[in-house]
Amino acid sequence: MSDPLLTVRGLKVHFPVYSKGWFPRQSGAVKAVDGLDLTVHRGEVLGLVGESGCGKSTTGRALLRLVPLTAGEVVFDGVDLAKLKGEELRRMRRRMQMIFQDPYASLNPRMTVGDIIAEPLGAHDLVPAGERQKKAQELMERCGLDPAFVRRYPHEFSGGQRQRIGIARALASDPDFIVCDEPISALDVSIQAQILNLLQSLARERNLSYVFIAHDLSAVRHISDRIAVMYLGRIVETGTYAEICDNPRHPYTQALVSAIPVPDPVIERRRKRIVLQGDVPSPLKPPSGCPFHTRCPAVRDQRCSTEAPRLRELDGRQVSCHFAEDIGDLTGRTAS
Amino acid sequence: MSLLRVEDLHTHFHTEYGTVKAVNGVSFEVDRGEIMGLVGESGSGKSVTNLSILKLIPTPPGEYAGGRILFDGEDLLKTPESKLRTYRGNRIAMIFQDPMTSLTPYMRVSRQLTEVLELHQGMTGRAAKKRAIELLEMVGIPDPANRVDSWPHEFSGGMRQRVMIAIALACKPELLLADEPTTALDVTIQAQILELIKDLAREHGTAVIMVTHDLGVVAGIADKVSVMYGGRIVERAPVEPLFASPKHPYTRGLLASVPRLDSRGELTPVKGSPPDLTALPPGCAFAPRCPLVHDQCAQQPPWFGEHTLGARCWKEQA
Repeated sequence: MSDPLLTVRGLKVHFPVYSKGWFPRQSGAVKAVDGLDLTVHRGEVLGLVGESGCGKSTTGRALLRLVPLTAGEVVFDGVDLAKLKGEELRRMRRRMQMIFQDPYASLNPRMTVGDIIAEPLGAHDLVPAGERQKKAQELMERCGLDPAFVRRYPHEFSGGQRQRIGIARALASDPDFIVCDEPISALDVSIQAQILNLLQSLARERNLSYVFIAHDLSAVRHISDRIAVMYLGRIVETGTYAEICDNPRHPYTQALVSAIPVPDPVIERRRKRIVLQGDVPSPLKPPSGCPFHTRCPAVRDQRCSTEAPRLRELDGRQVSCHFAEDIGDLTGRTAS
Repeated sequence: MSLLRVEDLHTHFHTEYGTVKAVNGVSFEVDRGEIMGLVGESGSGKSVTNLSILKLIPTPPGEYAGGRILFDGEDLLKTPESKLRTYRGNRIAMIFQDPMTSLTPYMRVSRQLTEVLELHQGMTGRAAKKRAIELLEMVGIPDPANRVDSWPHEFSGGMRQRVMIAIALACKPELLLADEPTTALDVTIQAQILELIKDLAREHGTAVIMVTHDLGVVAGIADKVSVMYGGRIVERAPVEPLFASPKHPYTRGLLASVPRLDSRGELTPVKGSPPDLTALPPGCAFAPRCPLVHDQCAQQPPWFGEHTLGARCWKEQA
């Protein structure tokens, strides 16, 4: 696992905002991703969590260069994607795929399931035209769909089945790396586990690397080897799933973990919550210094509001907080 | 005598594909100060149950096909519309799921709050405005005196949901119907909102029906739980026994299929998909997905167990 497949350094994705009037000028930028470092190893599942608007989906898209990058580098298997163009980039994309959140919007309603799944095979000319439907059927079967339905259209399938179609399509070009953007949040509770189990067994079987984006830390914990927590376009903490969920150090991670309900009333009654005040600030005008200092329950002195903390090593994980050593456990448990 | 007692409620929808029996014989009770979790997947009938209590189902295509909804002894299904209107938003309030679409976009927040106060409490002018500011403060909107005249679009999703809750709490309702009030929100905001609802039940003695699919939310907030499947309640129990020893195979399946923050065990998903409500099997609706299915399941199982504790499953008979 020491072999990095994807290394991201100083990634920035800013969306320009223009002033109103006859001669619009750029008046600012939504800093969706603002200086992000990330590593994904071969065969590793990296969970990316954060609240809505923290830039996790934009990050996922930037990793595949589906949005223009403002700055930084995304090195995939030794090649900086930020510098690739045209045919070179297109060829690289065979190895990187995406699974989308909304299974109702991410499949072309006018194409049969077979054609949807076979499209990457044609686009990258991987399988001769006559054999593509057969290959699509194999993929359907692997993803838990009846291959006899190859000529059906997306509307004839349920949400969970559609998500399986999306997964089969992502697998078609035999990628090394898949970005899963909230792949289960649109599904029914009893279906979510089916899809999680499928994604997990596929990753093991094909030595796939995932970036698994979700707001649901419970699901992320279930599938991820490592977890990265995002806040306002930056990583605030990364570590193994156990480090992040059982012993978080950054005050934001601590609040996030404490806010997630556990399906057990006995535990719920005993738990202490860190209830954060207010909302996530606008990425158009992120706070100065530490982006979290406006809501931080452990905010200390001027340093928090003036100096942006860097991501640094602490007890085997990385944290971006000036005072991570001192704040301890904010829920009042004794730190283990 | 419970504040709300629903007896054998049937709510159907007549569509071109046939009659959808969205609620198909549902009974439960909620007392003052009690929080009941109504759990189920989409299409299980939990939201329609909630809407039926306030008679908010459009008829047609909907139809209240049977049963009674006793609120403080009075059958709401027989109460005239004019009287019901004095209850809605006053004695019985509702929080809807989607904060983005449930506020009127062309009315200032202040007006949406004072409207309720004028209508039900006879408050006007400055007094109503003052109360509106108090309510916004209560739900944790920062700087309420300046924000009260904002438009809904100037608020974030979490803040809009808090405005919705402020409207619902304006008249200190006796019964609060909360339909997935936190599903559209982030977890840190969800924690704030759930605390608010808990305080309301504790301090004002409001009875709460909390519709949700999130078992974690239920575990944290509810006193008792009813689990719905295919338009029926399949299991009901106080919250602790429900999670400690679930009786119905569907409840067990649901619990085994949710990933948990505090452990990383194997997930055992429930097989298959939720049922088609236009073509429910004559017997147990869960039978096609049930690991314990047997011959008897072709017949509708009755309730087994005591009054507040039990499941609708033949395997529970013994």
